[in-house]
Amino acid sequence: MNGEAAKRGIFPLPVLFFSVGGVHYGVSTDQVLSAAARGASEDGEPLWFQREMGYGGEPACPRPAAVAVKAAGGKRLTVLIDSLEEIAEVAPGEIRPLPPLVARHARRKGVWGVIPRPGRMCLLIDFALWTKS
Amino acid sequence: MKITLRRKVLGLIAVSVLLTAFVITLVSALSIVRRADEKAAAYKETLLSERKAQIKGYVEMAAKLVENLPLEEAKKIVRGMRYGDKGYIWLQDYHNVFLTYVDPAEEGKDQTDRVDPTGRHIIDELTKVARDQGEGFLNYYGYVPGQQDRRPKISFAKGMPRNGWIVISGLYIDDIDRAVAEEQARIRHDVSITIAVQLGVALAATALLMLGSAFFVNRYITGPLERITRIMMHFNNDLTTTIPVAGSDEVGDLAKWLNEHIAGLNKSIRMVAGATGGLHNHAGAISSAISQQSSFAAQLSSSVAEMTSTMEELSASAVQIAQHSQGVVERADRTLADTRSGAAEVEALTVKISSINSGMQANLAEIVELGRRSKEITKIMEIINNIANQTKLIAFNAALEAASAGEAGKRFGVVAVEIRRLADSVVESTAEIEGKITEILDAVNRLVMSSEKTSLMMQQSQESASHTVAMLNSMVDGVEESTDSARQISLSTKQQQIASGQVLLAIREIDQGVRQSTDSARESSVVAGELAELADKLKSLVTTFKIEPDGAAAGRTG
Repeated sequence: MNGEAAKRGIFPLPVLFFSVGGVHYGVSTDQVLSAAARGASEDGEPLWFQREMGYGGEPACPRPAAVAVKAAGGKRLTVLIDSLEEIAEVAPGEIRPLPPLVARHARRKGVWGVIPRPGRMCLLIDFALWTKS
Repeated sequence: MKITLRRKVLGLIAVSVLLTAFVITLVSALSIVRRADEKAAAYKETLLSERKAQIKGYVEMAAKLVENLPLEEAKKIVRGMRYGDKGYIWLQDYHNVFLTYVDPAEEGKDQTDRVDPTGRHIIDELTKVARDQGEGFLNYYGYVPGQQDRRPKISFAKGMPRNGWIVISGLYIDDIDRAVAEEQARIRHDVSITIAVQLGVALAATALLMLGSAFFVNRYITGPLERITRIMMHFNNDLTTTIPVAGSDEVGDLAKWLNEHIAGLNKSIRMVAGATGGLHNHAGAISSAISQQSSFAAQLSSSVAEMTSTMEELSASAVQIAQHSQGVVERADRTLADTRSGAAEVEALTVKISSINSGMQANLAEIVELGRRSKEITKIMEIINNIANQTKLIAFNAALEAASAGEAGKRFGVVAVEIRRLADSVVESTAEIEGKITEILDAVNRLVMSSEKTSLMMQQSQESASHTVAMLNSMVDGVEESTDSARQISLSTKQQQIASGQVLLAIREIDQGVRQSTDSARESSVVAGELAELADKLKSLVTTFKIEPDGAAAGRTG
């Protein structure tokens, strides 16, 4: 399914939900190539998602998961996260735009929307934008 | 009455010449008359002098004759002295008494009171002249002997004081006045002839001058002017007309100025003709553009009308959607209430299961004991967990693949999800398996059968209850979300209804604007038509002028 089409709210968006440092994220499955345990068939040096997002501190998860994603220019990139949660389809109407105050800054981090989930808020991330910035 | 320029000029010349001749003649005549008067006066003076000399001679001769004679002798001689037709001499004393006189009746009488018609005492004044001056003349009016009328007369008195006598004689001088009058008449006649001759000469000279003036005026003034007038009268908007330039005087300047003016007018009309063509084309272009604009406005009006109709239908649909959304909200509220009721029932069931579970505590204690003993097989459990985790990752990857496969991968995605859940169950079950293994290991014979059955029942009940509670809770959450969404939809629909109304209002304003624009385009079209008509009129007006090509007019003024 085309991610740009999903951004325009035309089709349901399949999203891989994961968590890092207690923060919940979602990424379009179009940008996810595979999931694996830490150390299994990683391409090059993996990136710690928590470090790259600039949260501070060192990752403390004992058993991180490795997600292979499509970076800018179609490059394959391995990102280390705390845990995989689920894959689900999200209706475009559920996706809320970011508040204008933080939208510009967040977009530089690759965050382009918010999905309210029961008991939590998931930030939608675009790995192409994330790696470009 | 129309007076031509030629007549005016010639009339002015004639009047000037005649006036000059009249003045000259008048001055000349006055001079002649004045000289004639002087001549007449001199003539009169000459005659009078002759008369004076004559009477003086007679009186002096008489005085010579009688100065040494006695009175009576003297009287005889004086009485006999006559000259001319009526000339006589008388003798008197210094007391105004006549000693002799032509009328003997007057002798011996005092003549002091003898006066003439002017009141002059004639004898007394003659006596006074003789007494005072010795001799002298006196003018007065005297009687002609034998007649009653008096005539102008001059007398000469010469005193003879030694004798006491005065000798006097006089002559009438009215014939002198007649002679002078005749001379003056003759002179006036000469003057009249002279004036007539001068006037004749002046008239002849005037006639000749008029002929010459007529020739020159006609050749150098009125002729060129008449030619210019004739050309201009037949001008008839012909801008190729050239006026001949005769000479370098004012008429020539006028001809040059008219040629320059016609050339300038030719240039202007040529420019106006060009501009008129452009104006006509522009008016046509404007009219065409306005027609297109009018047509476009009509199409736009039709489109706006269709949009209005569509928006009205959309607004009606929005009302229906709002009503249906309200129904959905009510239905969702009921569903939420039912779901909460079901959740409460399941909670009660859980309580019951918990009660059952309490009864199984003893058995559980045994199981705990068995679990304590099953630590030895923890490594096996970790392996199982690792396998389950790997299975879970595989299930994630399978789900990713299924998601990227789109609609075709949906079933596979469901299987992947189930596998992931199974892996989760495996992970969860490892604990139970560990317990079961521990029981098997610690209470091989005593509790195997009962614990296994009880544990199995409890596990199944617990799982069912938990599963049901989870489902109900999930349903409650879903129904709450559905209710919120339905409310949001209802609110959005109402907002959409309001927005549709505003859009409809805006479209009606647009429709009104389009109608006004159409009216304006129609008025502009009328104005453009009038402009084109005006351009046509101007063009037809310009075509009444006959113009010559550009540059040809430049030679006319040179």
